[in-house]
Amino acid sequence: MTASIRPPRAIAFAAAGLAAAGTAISAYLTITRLAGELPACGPLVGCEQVATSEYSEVFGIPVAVLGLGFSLVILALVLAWARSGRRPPALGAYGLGLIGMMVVGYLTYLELFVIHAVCAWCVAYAATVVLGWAVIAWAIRH
Amino acid sequence: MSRHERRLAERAERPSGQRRRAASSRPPRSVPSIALITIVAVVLGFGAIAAFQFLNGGDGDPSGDAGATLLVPPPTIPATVVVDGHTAGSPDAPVLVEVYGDYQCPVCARFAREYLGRLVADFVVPGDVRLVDRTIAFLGRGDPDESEQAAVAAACAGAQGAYWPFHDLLLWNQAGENRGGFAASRLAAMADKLTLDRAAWDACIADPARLDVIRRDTAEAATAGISSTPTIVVDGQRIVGMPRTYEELAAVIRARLATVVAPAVP
Repeated sequence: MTASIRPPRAIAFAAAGLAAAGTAISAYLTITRLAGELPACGPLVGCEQVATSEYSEVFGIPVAVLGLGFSLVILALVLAWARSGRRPPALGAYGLGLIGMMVVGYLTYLELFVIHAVCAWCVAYAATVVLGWAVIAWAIRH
Repeated sequence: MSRHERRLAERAERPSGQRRRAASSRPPRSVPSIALITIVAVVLGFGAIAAFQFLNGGDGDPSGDAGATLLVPPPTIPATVVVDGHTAGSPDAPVLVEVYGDYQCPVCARFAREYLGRLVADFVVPGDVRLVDRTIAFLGRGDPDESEQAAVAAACAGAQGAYWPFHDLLLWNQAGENRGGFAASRLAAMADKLTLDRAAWDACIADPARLDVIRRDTAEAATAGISSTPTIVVDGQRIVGMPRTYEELAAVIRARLATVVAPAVP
């Protein structure tokens, strides 16, 4: 075992890729939100209902913006970890990812049981958060 | 040499007793830190969720918002405009603008507050547009369904010639979706605010035929493919969602007017 916990290349790529995907999705949702448009949903319905629901913002801040901020921070931490191999960014991403996972879990609960509509973008975003956290958690424990 | 490597090298130079202690303390030191981070993160996560719940008004207690005093908005439709139930404007107006909305839809409220008054002043008052408010009730959950109840309440106000003032009251007094904002008591307070004939209004909202009409209209809109609100239809041309700017919407109406009102060719 080496002292450095620089992640294996594949792990770093996976974690950074997931964070980048989350950033892209939340950026798209942020842009449509700020432009006052509805996210394109394709054949799947539900985006409109979720995007226009009262839960789409908290304290006047669109949830999409919070997601974008979150993904950018995770992306920065993962990159810092991959470059330096130092533990603090990895632990930061792990802890923050855990918080993020709980929040997206709660938002998905709202979609399913309160708004009764599921937004594909939001589910995809939630998947990037959960998978990203799983990758980071696996890497720091091994 | 990285800091880690340097530390390892220092450790290697220490007497064996110390080294053993240092070596054995390494793995346990990292494990509690992950455990601690996990605990802190879980606590913060629950805190974030609780804050979110709280800031969105909480789930359990609808009375807080619902009990609030009613905002009385400026009328969307001026007294000079001909009104017939949920339509406003001259029956001879060349262009028909339909607004599909659910009374619980927050974007519909924004549309009504920010664009509708201007649309009426620019196009309905001069007689260019006849405006029809098409209510669909699809956001309500549970029983009573607040979207349906609000729609019935407005229709019954319309039976007394007060559709638009009731429409305005509803959209300016949303209090979250499906948590008592449009509970029976609050709708009745709106009826009183407009000094409607309460006996007639009460009888009207109790009439199941009124609800049937709302449900039929909702089903028809769904069949026609109107799946989100607001949807604005300008002589058949659909604009889904809130237009980015009022001007964008006005331009569509103006373009339509230009094609419908044929210029007097000599």
